[in-house]
Amino acid sequence: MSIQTSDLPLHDRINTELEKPFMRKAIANAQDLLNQKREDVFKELGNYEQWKSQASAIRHHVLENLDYYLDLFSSNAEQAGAHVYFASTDQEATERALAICQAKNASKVVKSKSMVTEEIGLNEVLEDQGIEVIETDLGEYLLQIDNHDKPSHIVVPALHKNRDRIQQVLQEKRGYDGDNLPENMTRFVRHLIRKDFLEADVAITGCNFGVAETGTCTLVTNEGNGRFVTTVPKTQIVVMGMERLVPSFKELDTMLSLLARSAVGAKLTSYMTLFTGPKKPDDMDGPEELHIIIVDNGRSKVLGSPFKEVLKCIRCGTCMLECPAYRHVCGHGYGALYPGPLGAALVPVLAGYTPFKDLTKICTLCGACNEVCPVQVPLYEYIYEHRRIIAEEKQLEGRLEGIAMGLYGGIIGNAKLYDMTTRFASVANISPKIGPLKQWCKNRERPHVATQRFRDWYKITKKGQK
Amino acid sequence: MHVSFFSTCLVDNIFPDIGIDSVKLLERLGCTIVFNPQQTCCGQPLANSGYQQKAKKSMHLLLDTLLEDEADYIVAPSGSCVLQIKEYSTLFADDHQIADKAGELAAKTFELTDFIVNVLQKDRVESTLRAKAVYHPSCHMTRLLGVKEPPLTLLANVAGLELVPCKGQDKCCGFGGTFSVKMADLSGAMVAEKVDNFIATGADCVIGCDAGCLMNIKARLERLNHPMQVLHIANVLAHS
Amino acid sequence: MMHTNKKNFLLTVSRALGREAIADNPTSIDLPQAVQEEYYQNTTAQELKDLFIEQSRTAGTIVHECALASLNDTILTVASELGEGPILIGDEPLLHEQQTAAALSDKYTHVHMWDCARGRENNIDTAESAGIGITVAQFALAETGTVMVHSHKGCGRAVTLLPTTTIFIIKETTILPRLTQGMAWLAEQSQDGLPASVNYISGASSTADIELVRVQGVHGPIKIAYIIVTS
Repeated sequence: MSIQTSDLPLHDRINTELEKPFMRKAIANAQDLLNQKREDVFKELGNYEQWKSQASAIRHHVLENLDYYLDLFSSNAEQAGAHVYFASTDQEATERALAICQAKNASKVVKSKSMVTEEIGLNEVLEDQGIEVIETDLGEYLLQIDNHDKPSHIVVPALHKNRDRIQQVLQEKRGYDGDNLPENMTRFVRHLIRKDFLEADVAITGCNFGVAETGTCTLVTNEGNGRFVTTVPKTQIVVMGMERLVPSFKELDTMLSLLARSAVGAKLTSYMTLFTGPKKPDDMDGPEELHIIIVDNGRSKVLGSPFKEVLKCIRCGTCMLECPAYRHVCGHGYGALYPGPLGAALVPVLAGYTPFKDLTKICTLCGACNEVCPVQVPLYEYIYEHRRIIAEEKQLEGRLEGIAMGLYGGIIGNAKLYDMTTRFASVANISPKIGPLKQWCKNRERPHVATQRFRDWYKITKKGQK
Repeated sequence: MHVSFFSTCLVDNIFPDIGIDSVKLLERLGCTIVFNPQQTCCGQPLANSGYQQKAKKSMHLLLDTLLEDEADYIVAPSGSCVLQIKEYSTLFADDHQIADKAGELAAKTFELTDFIVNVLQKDRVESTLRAKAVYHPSCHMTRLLGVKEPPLTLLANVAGLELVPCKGQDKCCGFGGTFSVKMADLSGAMVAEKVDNFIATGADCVIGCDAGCLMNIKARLERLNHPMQVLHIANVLAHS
Repeated sequence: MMHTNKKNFLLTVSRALGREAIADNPTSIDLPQAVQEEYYQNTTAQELKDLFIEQSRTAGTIVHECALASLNDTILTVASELGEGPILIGDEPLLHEQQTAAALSDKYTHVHMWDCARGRENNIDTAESAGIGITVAQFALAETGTVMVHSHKGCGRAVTLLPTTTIFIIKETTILPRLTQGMAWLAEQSQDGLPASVNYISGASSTADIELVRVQGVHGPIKIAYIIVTS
């Protein structure tokens, strides 16, 4: 996968998703359930705003000093015995990972869930070279065996699939003969993947947070795959986005205290694994070699832009859970690996306005995301500013829209013209339904334009009084 | 107290009754109202679509118009349009003279219920509505302008009015200005869910503070042929 | 001497931040007051233990308490309730002192201890075929019902991961308030070198990836039990 996940044009994507009743209900339920859980755990924790502003200040500080902390992190990781590589592009990163796998003669690789490896398209590169890649997160696994289906949510990637579909896929692709109960299907996959874990030559993981002071990497999981990949395979590759650092364990406390609460409404996930270097000589398990690939792939461009605070993001997915537009079209509607408010704020500047200008359209500017972001990314403001850049600076919205908007601006910019135009606007009540009115009327009746405007009433009434 | 009334373009053209009720209400509360007919639109539909430059002419016009009468306050029956006015100083940041004027305007511009509760210091306005109603908190007004409590305070003191909660109450109705036509299918799906939630409450009417959201909600209810009434808070508060 | 590739990478970052060289020192970190320090200021040990038990049970973890003298009996009871052998035990001083392996051998045919003399494959295979893994937690966190274990010579990562059931022994005196104290421990350890792997564990492995239905037992243990040893 890469950042772009769909070739369909915007409206086709949206309409395809709107016609999936199961998906829409599943996403709506997930939003309602997880948002309630999140509210509950934060209420129990208390001091919500202080926690958020502290987390935001930490992330801001890291970004301001990112060159320093990257240097510190990599030196300390090397000190602990890890090999650290810096990859400016996706290609450099995938080539590096491939070279490590090939040096180990790897035929099978297990992965724990990682957004950045999807961003750089790592699986495809390895698979092209005949290496079998197994996603071990249950949701990712179910997508992978269903002809590489795309995630609908960054935390719960297979949310759009119902249990019947999952049963069918397991039957067709893996010979499952059980019922459609989540518990039984999960158990079946447990046995399958366990075998893969034990056989794999190389493990590939992401990294939720790197601790600069010690060169430690953190993996947060519920399923235990984050632990498995750091226990059994002899070689481990960590791929991390370069902004994913905290200065020390003290700040890690804040970030971890917020991550699980924000992502899934839990106080902590089942597992938080912190690994520093490869295994020690008298450790009997754990990777003998640890490779850390630090990826830029557009991040330095974001860092140097007015949108740099979006790099504070900790990938919790809360903005998506809160977004009323995401609710109806899920991740697929965006056609980008990072969907929702985060996607709309990040992707245009990370990967280009031209291919991703439409992301900012899937937004009513309701501001709900801003309220819940645990690191206070100004998502609303960024989306708003992207729209300006797209429409006026880069003029990517087409001439027709520009002309129409100019016309509208001309009318409301001139009191006389406005008065004249609106005086007869009630003809719209009987006009044919074309253009914007046609769009509006797909699901709604046309608004009724008043024959007597407010200003007409005011003029008549106040004259009478005087 | 002299109040310059900004009707907003939607109220002017689609819901004049909201403007009429707002004026009557403010007069009843002792305000002297002026309405400057040079006013048009705050420019938000353009600015939110990314066309800030094209919106600036209307913003200039509104700045001059609303400050012209030297009223003590400017009041509008819309949180969203008030928010837009308050953002003028940022949009004109590169021109100090205009930015200063915009700052002056922002400081004395209030959303209707915010004005009644926090400027006029009135928690109740002696009004009656014998109905069961569901309240729709508009996003711009509550989240971005930060006016959450005033409408609820005033509605709580309306005689005969029973407010009922609704599922997904603070979720956006899907209007979003030009979003409602540019992304009509998605907008339609959003308002459909919103309206279904309103209907499920069994309320007689839905009350809101922004004509945009109300227009969207009303149009959906009409498509469903549903008798639920759509009222602006000014419609409620003006009637004793 | 910094590697060219690294240097170029970092310089790109520096330039994005508006400077021509890699920063030698970070700017001072301007954090709002550390909010976590306000938590559990006046909480008693008993209250922490109660909170720990409550949180653990909420997460579906089975919790028992016992005196040191009855530890082996309690382990036997819990083990027979939760699973079947073989059993794998971490080579921990407490379990040595109590001769836990011997006590369990009366009932279970296969009781193994993590043994660094037996090599990597052997230990992993033993863990993979074990029904129950038993070890001692370094400490526990009350707020989240969490235990902490780390890799060392006497106990590998697999002991608490591969067997179907894990039993953690927790000394009552090691129950700390929250993650803040857990992280402080790591900061302290980092002075003399961190363990290669540190795990904070809050309940059995679980997923909600299918229709958001919570299922316990994915890649890690299906069942978890805590035995708190009172003093």
